[in-house]
Amino acid sequence: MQDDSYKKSCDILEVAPDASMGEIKRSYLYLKELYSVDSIASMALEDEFSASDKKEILAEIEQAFQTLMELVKQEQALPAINSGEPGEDEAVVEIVSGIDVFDGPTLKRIREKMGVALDDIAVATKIQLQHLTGLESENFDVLPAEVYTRGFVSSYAGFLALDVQKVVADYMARYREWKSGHHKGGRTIASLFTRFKQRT
Amino acid sequence: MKEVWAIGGGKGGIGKSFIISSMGNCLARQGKKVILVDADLGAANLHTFLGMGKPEKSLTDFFENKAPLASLLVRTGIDNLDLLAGAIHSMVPENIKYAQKLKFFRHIKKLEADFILIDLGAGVHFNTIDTFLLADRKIVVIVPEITAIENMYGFIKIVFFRHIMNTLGRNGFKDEFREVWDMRQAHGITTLKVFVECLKSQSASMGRIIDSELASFRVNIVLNQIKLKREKRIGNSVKSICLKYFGLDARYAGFIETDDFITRSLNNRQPYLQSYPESKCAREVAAIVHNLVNDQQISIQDAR
Repeated sequence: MQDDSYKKSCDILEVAPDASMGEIKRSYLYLKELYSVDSIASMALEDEFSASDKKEILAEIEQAFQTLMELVKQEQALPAINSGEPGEDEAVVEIVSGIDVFDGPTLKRIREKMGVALDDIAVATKIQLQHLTGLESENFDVLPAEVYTRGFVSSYAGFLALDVQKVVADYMARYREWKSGHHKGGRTIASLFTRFKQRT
Repeated sequence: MKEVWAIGGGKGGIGKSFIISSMGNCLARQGKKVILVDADLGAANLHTFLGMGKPEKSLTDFFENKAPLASLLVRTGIDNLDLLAGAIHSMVPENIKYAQKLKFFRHIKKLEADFILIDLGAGVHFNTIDTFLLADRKIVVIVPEITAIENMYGFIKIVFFRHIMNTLGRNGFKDEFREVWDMRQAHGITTLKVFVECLKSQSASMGRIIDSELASFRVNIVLNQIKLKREKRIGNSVKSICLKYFGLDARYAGFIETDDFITRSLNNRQPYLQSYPESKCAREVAAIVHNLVNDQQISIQDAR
């Protein structure tokens, strides 16, 4: 009986019965998005795929997920469910909401969690891969002038559907901090030069 | 066990012939005896994908002169891979008679091979649909473009409509089917889904037949010409909608990334897989073949 509802819920969530907790959650979030946001896959059916059809499907997905979570709770650990690697199940949303400051490494972590390849961002935003890598590693030396870097950060954040304003503000604050330190260095060279001039 | 695969439907120019010829090539490399059938009546050019010129013999001789199919096989120059060329130079009658189609399919099934791969071309002509329905593996192709996906849904709907009509007819429900069809305006039926629901409500036995046909009706989706890694998921999405909205047993067999070298090798009259057997596309084609042979598919986890 319980096996039946377990199997059925897995079918609805489109995962194999031996799927890990992380897989189930990811699939659930994916399907939830598919049936609540327009995509070319659903828009191609626009004329007949009604809002109430989508609502019905969403309810089914929700129900299946709740059923699975209930079953897991009841038996603590069903033999069929392997608990995913630690951190694996954490939904991206949860991670993002827990972030204070968006710096390079954090952005990289979010991107990897979303399963987005840097190549894809490069193709879509037309930002060179070396700049993207520099952006994530905060290797500010390889990044172009501030106004361009700001644009890069904004495109990057937009691609990952993050809060663009917040990400740009956080990131550019770090960039400017670095830049002011860098310029201090510039001044010392200049002062050395004047000293040299004075001596001669 | 001999298997017949058919690829069809949807938009033209999205790579159906490339995919079926490459799958044939891939199976032949694994030592399987493969026959490629070019049933794209009207725009037959599977031979070009194999790096061949216009073949001397073609299906025209079967339809017009009743030549046995086995005598029309052409060597492709690739081990284990033969071709039944399409009707290129003749005006194929638009409507090949149903009996003739069944005969065509019966004869195809008698050919000696491990795999028989049929290229049906684009479009939703009944010739195409009936052959598609008879295949053991039904393959549809999409690209990340809304028009291609629209055409694919359209193709699936027509195919399934025809399948239900044939099945109910065979089970003695021809009149009931007609009745619902004739009354569709009065019933306010505008979509296939509602039409199917209405048929099911006619009687318990009709409901049972339709349910079991739906559940056993498997279409395999191949996503071609992707440019971004995240586009892989379009295959998962389309599959999910076929599964949940139409209630079909849809599978996502795999994806193929774009590669400019495909056009280049075509223009050089070289089969792509022969020229670039280790390329990314070649590996992706091999993965699709593996999934089709072993009844496996791409999950949301795989498409990352």
